[in-house]
Amino acid sequence: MLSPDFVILTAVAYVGLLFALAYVSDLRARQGRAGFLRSPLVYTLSISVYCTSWTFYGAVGTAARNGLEFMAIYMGPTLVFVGWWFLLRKLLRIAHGQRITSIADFLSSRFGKSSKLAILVTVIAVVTITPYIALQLKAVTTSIQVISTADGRGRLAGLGDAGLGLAVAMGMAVFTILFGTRNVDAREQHPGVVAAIAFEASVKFVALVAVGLFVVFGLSDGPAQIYARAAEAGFTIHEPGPFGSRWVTVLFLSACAVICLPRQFQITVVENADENHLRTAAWAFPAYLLLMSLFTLPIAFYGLATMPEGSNPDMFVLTLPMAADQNALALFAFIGGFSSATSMIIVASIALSIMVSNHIVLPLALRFTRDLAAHEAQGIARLLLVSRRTSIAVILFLGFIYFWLTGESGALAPIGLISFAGVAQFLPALLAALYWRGATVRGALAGMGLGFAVWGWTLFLPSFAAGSDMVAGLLARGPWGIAALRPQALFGMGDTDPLVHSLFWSMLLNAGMLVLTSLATRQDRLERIQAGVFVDVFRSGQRGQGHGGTGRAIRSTATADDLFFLAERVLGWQRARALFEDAGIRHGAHARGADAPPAFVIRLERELASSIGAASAHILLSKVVRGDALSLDEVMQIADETLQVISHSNELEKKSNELRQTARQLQEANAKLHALHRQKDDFLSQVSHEVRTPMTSIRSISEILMRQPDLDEAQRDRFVGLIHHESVRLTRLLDEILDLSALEHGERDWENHPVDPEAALSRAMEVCDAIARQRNIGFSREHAPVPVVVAGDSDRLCQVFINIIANAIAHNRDPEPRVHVRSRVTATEYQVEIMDNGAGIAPEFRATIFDKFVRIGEAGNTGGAFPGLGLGLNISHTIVRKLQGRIELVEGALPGACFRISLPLCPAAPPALEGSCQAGASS
Amino acid sequence: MAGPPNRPAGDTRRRDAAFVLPAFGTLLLLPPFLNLFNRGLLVFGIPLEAVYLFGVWLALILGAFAMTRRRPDTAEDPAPGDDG
Repeated sequence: MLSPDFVILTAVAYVGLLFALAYVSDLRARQGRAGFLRSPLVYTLSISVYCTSWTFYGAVGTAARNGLEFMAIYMGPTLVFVGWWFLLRKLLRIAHGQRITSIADFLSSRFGKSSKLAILVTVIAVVTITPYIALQLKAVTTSIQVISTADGRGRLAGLGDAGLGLAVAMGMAVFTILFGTRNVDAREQHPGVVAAIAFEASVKFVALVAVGLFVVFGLSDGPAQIYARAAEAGFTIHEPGPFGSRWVTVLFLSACAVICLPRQFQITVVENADENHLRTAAWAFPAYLLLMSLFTLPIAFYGLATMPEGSNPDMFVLTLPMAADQNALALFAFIGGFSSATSMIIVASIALSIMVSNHIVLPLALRFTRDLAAHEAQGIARLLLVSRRTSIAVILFLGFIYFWLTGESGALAPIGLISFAGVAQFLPALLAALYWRGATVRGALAGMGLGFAVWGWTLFLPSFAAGSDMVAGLLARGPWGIAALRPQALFGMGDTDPLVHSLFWSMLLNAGMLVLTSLATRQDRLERIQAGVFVDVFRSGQRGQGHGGTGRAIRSTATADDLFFLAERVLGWQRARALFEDAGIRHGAHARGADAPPAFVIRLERELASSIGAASAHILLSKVVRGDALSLDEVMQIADETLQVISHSNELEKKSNELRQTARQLQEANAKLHALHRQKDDFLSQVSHEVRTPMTSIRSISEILMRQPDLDEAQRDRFVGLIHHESVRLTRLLDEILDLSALEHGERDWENHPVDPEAALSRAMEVCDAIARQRNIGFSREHAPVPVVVAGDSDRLCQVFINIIANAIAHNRDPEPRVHVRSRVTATEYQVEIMDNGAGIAPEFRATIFDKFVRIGEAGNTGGAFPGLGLGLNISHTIVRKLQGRIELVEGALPGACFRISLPLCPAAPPALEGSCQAGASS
Repeated sequence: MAGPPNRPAGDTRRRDAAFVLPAFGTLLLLPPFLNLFNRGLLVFGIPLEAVYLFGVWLALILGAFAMTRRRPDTAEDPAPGDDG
């Protein structure tokens, strides 16, 4: 109902509008007034390049044929974006740090800047995107045919599908070349293109929603009525069967595609201006997808119920408004579909052409021409531009060939899924690049190569079956009649859906090969470094700045002039000069022959990589840097050494920590030694004092005896008695000191035998009984109720008891002195408590009472026959410790002091086992 | 791995939420669960399975929206190893 000329003219005018928009945006961006163009909203809209004419037209077709399957195409990307924190954020961070230009550049950069891998990825991308481009050509061609058929055969429509398809392809090629390759951009960012894509995203959105609203609320009375009508007309409005492997497969494929498709990578990662935009896109892009899919089902069911049988459901979006005589809406819908097709073709072919020129053409040119850079000004930039334009034309032509060969029999969606399954082959390598440090370039090459081959055999090749008898025969019988190799029934797996079948085998072999080969091969230095940079991008303090800081020690032999010459040819004079000035490198006549610092060479390599990809920049630079002196191997060696230095310094730090600890321990030991030394001095002076006192009196008395022979008998006897008394005291003192020293140094043999402590206690009490009587002390005893055995030495034990009891007697000043001894047995111990009703121990002495030479009260108070020397308690304490027991001052039943001696019970109670109980031997 | 000691606890919780959202989304969109809703019922005249799918989809979008609104920027580095 619309004249084909009018339709074509509208499309051309629309393209002109896009072009103007892109031009203005580019201009603004160059003037630094990008503002709105770099907003999260524009970013989100540009990501919507995911919705091609497959979404615009094909989704309705899929809904009409396969029910809800179309939703899986949008659910996958939703999951990826909702989970942006894990994958997309890391991808973006790395890409920004490494100045990544494409997915091929990303993978090759991670796997040691491998040219081979970049070429393989590029080839796979070109081949797999071909069906996708064909899909767009087919959609545009069909939509032009559909919108103009009612008006009879128009001039252009009369060309037939093939002719029209070719014309569309040519128009698109010219458009894209004009659009995307006007110059080689500094960072492969195209603000103009992004603006146009965002605009197109809005157009297709509004168009589809308009058609949807018209169908649901204009033609019909809400969605419920549409379903009811479809059900009346005999269509199944429910899912025909349970969701199964095909649903899972499509969900997985679409999730892969939104990351791995070259155009998605270009828009989402390369064109991204700010990582934070991802935050908005995380919910806004899924929301866009949801709104785009909201009307798909109603349109499909309304079309099925009302359109004549045999109409193409892929074109319902267009034919429903036409059938309702809404020409304006139909034209709008056509422009919407046209928008979705052009945006996909523009971005996809730009992305692919960057990959082809950077990874295939440039390395080849560098290999075959000795000094490309020297030929003419801007030589490399011109080569890049020409090769990009050529590759855009070639890519579109390939798309046309596929469109032409496969005929128009198929629906739109299956063609798109073939492409999805193709780009999914990047996924294992991509995930390995992000998360597995050990993946090697050989693993990536082998896995991806094998996966691609399996995809080609099981999915791509069968898509030609309709147009080729040979392929059809291959499908039916297998190559050379080998049934196990039939493309859609590999190894006899014939009963699965072809898509599921292909994805299963290709992914299994791809991932398996990647893992096995990676485990079997080794990484070279560059790979190892890049793997670290990629996997640990969030860990490095440099924010993924790569190995920029590691190559400082290399001696460069490239002169600044050479480098400037090269930079000028790739980046242009202005940018090259800015770069050199920024780094403070002098070049030209002022600095003839001066060498550029290596850090700058590395920086330059990164800058070049942002234009021509990592692998090409590497080749190019290594040609200029004289004699290939700046081999990356050397850089890596330095980096390796740096790593070693780091690990050494870590070890050193550990060592020094240990040393610090040892020093502290030594200090502590030293302090302890000092304290002991002081103690020893104190002890010595105490001992000398103790020895000196009796010695002085002995000496003076004996002098008196010598000088005065005329002393009377009684006096003489008194003096002799005094001498005797003092020497006894002295002997006892020396004995005790010897005893103490022996105890402390463990020199004396000390064996613990099972003994009866009650017997020892009784003996001690007998000894003390005499003194007690002498002093008129009430002496009482309370026995342990059961026979008891402890490990010890009965003499020593007795010594301890005597010591304590004697103390208790000696220091008791009470008018009615009493000493009470009580022994008892607890679960694990034998306890003796010796208490008196004396003055007790003053609180200030309680802590030191067991130290040497501590005497309570005045020093001269010898108190009878057992004068205190201040060593008794210390000796007792030492002995009891040797018996594994304790002696302590406790609150007793009597008002005075109460000493409690606790000894561990010997488990071998029966005396028959005497000798077997060796508790604490001497230490 | 634990975050730096000065990181507020809320951040860790949000990071966990960032993991839970896509994980649960995936679970809800895969067959054993999905087929629970595929039983030929109509809700307001619309097949239940379609309503369910759109419902999960909307919930994911709202979840992502709520989560990203809270943290103004990605400037700070996450704890190492949390990005798997």
